[in-house]
Amino acid sequence: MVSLLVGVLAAVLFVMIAAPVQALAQRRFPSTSPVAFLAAAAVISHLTTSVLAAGLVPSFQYWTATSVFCFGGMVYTQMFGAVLKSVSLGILLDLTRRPGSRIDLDEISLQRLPQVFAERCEILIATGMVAREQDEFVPTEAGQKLAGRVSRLRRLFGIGDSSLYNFNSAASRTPRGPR
Amino acid sequence: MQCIALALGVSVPVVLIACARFTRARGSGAGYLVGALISIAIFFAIALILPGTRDPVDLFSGFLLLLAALLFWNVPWNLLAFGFTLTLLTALVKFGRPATRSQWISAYMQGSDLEKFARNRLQLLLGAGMATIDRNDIVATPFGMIGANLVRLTRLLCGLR
Repeated sequence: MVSLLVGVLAAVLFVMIAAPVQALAQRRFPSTSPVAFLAAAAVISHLTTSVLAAGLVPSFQYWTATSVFCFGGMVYTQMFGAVLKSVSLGILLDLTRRPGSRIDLDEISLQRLPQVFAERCEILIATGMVAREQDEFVPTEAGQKLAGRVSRLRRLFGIGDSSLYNFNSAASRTPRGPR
Repeated sequence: MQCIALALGVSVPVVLIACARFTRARGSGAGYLVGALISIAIFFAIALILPGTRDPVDLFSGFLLLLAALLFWNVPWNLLAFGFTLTLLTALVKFGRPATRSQWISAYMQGSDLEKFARNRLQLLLGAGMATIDRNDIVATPFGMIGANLVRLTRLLCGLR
């Protein structure tokens, strides 16, 4: 039971380290992936609590504590991923800032989404996956290699590549109108 | 049970490949859910079959390890299935020649327009009751306002601006 508690403490320490490190890293190292800082915070908190518990708690069981830490850490990582770049949640935040908490659907389709597309295109250019040639875009050799690997993995796991969420409700198919 | 959970956690991709071959789950999200439920079922089946008594802490700890592994593998799975940036790249490669930005977006949407993409992403909010459609406007519901505040709190907890 003490080992379970050590795992909880490690997860709490991880959250306490991850948030300020992330905030600091965004200012100091904006080009570095946020996931790298998340991983660093996980390693620091896990090692610190494991070493301390191994020295101070005679009945410490490493894997019992690690199971709690891994579960807590992965829940936090999933939450982090959900709020980091989600288009839907970005729209929700934008929506609640507007007068009357409403946005015209055309504004989302014609202004916000093209902007989101442009941002993602820039990421691909900055990471060397795509090159810009005047007004046109071409995949680089590295981009083609990565795309090939992704396609093979998708085939292996039976994943389609539409990138649209699988909603089967009528609302996703019907033309616009009052709900 | 921790060793069994670790072994099952490592072999989640194998279970997912088997699921892709032998089950007919509709959609990538459902495919992952089926694979995850099969892994959990195998874990508890082994716990029941193995001789001897089970230590509750060991069983609980093993279950948490398996859940952590399922959450871990869910990250690359979601990237492959729903990754916006990765799919932009594969769409450009599939296009086969230099593309203007609008051609690239069109290739990504496989012929659909941005309104369909907007509606697809909005389905998450509409389906969860966080937003509703009023004529041509998307309107946040009171539940959506609570959801937005939770997202802001989560962003704060994650150290994101």
